[in-house]
Amino acid sequence: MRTKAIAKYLGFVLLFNALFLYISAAISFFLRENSLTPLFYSAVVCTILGLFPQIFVEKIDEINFREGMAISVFGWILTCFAGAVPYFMWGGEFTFANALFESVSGYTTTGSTILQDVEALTKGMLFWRSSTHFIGGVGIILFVLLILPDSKGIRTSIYRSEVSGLSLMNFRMRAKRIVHIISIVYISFTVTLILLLWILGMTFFDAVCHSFGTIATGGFSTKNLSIAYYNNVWIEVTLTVFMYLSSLHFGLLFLTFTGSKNNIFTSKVIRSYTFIILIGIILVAVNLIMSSGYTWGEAFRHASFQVVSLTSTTGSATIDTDVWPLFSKIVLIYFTIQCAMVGSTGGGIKFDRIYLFFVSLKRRIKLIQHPQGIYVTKMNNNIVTEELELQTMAFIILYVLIFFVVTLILAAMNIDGMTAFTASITSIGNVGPGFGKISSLANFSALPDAAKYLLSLNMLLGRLEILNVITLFVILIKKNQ
Amino acid sequence: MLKSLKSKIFSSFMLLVLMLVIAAIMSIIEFNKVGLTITDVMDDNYKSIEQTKNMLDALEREDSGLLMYLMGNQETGSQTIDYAYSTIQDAIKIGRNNITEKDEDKYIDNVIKEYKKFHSAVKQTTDASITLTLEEKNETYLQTQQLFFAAKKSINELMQLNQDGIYNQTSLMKENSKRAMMPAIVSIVAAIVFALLLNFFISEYFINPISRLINGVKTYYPEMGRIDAKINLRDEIKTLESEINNLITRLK
Repeated sequence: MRTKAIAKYLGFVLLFNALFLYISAAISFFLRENSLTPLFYSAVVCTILGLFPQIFVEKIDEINFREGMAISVFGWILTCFAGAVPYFMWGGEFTFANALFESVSGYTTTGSTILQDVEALTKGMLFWRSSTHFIGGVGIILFVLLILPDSKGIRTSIYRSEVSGLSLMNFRMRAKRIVHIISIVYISFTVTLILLLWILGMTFFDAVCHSFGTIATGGFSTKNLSIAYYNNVWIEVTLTVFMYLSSLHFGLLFLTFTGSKNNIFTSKVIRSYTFIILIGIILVAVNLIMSSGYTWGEAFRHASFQVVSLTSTTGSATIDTDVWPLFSKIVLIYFTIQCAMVGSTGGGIKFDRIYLFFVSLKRRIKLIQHPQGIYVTKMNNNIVTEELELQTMAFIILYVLIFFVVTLILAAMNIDGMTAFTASITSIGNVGPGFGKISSLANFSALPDAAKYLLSLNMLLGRLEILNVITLFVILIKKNQ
Repeated sequence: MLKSLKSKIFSSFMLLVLMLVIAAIMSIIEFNKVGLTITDVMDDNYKSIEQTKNMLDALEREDSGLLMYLMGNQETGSQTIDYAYSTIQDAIKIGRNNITEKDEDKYIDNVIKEYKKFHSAVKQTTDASITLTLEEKNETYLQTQQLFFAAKKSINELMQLNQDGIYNQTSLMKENSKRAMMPAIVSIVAAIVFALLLNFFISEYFINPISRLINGVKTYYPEMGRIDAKINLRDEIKTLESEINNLITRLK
């Protein structure tokens, strides 16, 4: 691995962050806010450290897969630390642990917060906080790839290390085209949602911040009460639709809008995903009507928002779900585990993997019944290779293992069972809220610093899809041996 | 990428200098803000508190003046009341021109309203005191006391508002001074990262090519024809390698 090549691309990552920091600083400057210094100086530091490698490192013509993987993993780690600098400099509720947690939560589009009073932040800081969602939504690496000139498959190497093999199944085109498609869908969705929320009564600033949070499936809000602050059914319906769309494969969304036969309506996986969401909404709504005395309208309004919010890994809230009956909580926990689809901005185990698991299981059962038979695993009429199947199984096992270990460590820190369990699952799934002390209208401030560091690591592992991180560190350890 | 070693080194140090200069400017701006906050506290809130103290003092004096008047010392009592009245009016005027806190004008209006009631009662009592018996004087004085306490309460509320303002300003000062130090702290960390990166790039672009060149010269033998130090750069070291090869050619 060439360190200088990695340094050059990490420099681009810092420069990209600096761009959004300058915009946030400009907001603070025009509104005469006290966050100008933290935002502007962080932007300066990012610019200088980002420019530095560009002075020395010559043009890179080729990047191999290992270097691509290192750029992806280290890019995320570096960006999370860089993003924490303005928070830390601003002070207030941001200790170093809190600043890092907030930054990791923003970039990984988890949306968990340590802030007890979000509204105490300045507009500049709020914009920066939402920008971390926007940058992290499709991945900062993809943004960097979008603006860089391609040469000899640099995009392909980095892109393949950033995106799971499963999500590439729906793309039958070059990496350059894929990056463009993702960006087109992402930006057009964001702009549309900004306009809709603005029309529906949000201020323009709030509309921008909430759009960043929704399309990136992050969930940071500018209000302490999240979406519940607006108490506006139309805003909730609009957000529900966009959270759902953002949880689908961006490639398939693009193909749908361009009139291709391979689209979201013909995809069996998306049909199953939508069906399960509908079942979840009905179960929660009926439970709320029967156990908590909700009216039909209120039950379906909150159930649909919360189920879609959690399964899309957005985590925005219209109500405190911690007071809901246990059955509804269990259904919501299932969606926190299942999460969105591959190729979306959502994190977590992803529905496609669960689908593949069951399709694969079906094939194994058939093989047991007819050992001489020849069966293949198919998803959306695409044959899934044995390697991809094994990779998916390994991912699920690792995911569950990490979730279990993190829950155990959190419990050892004297955190109650429900909080520890849901904090672990919500952080690795990049969902946001859990239950107990970290419910939908609460925050993570009460957790000890050690727990915040652990959960930050968990969020990063979830965002980087675990295997990439492990593979990179195995490569690095072997190299040193 | 810059080609010459000179420009690379120069640009690196210029970047470092730029970062430190901006950090210094930012710190100066933030410390200046701390200074301004101190000025605000000293000039505005402290001045307002001083005026409320004057008001309280004058109010007490007016009350004493009334007591003196009722006890028969009418001249001194009257002078004390008039002096207290003008002191309070001056203090209110200063307070009006020195509004620093949110809704402070409403608090001042309340002081004016309550004091007006008290002062009117004092005037009515003094005007009617000749016709009053000792018992009636006592009763009237007790009635003015209710208004005295109401006026005193309104002044205390104004004082509390400014004291809270001082507390908030002090908290802000603490926050600002912490914020003023932050560019320096971040600069230290960034400078360490910068130094580590510089060390890496110097090894990669200066030390390693020179070592390879030295090794190439050391292991050179005439049959090789030329030195190949595997320098892929286009800087002065590459030029040096070419010149060494030219020298070898010329010596042949």
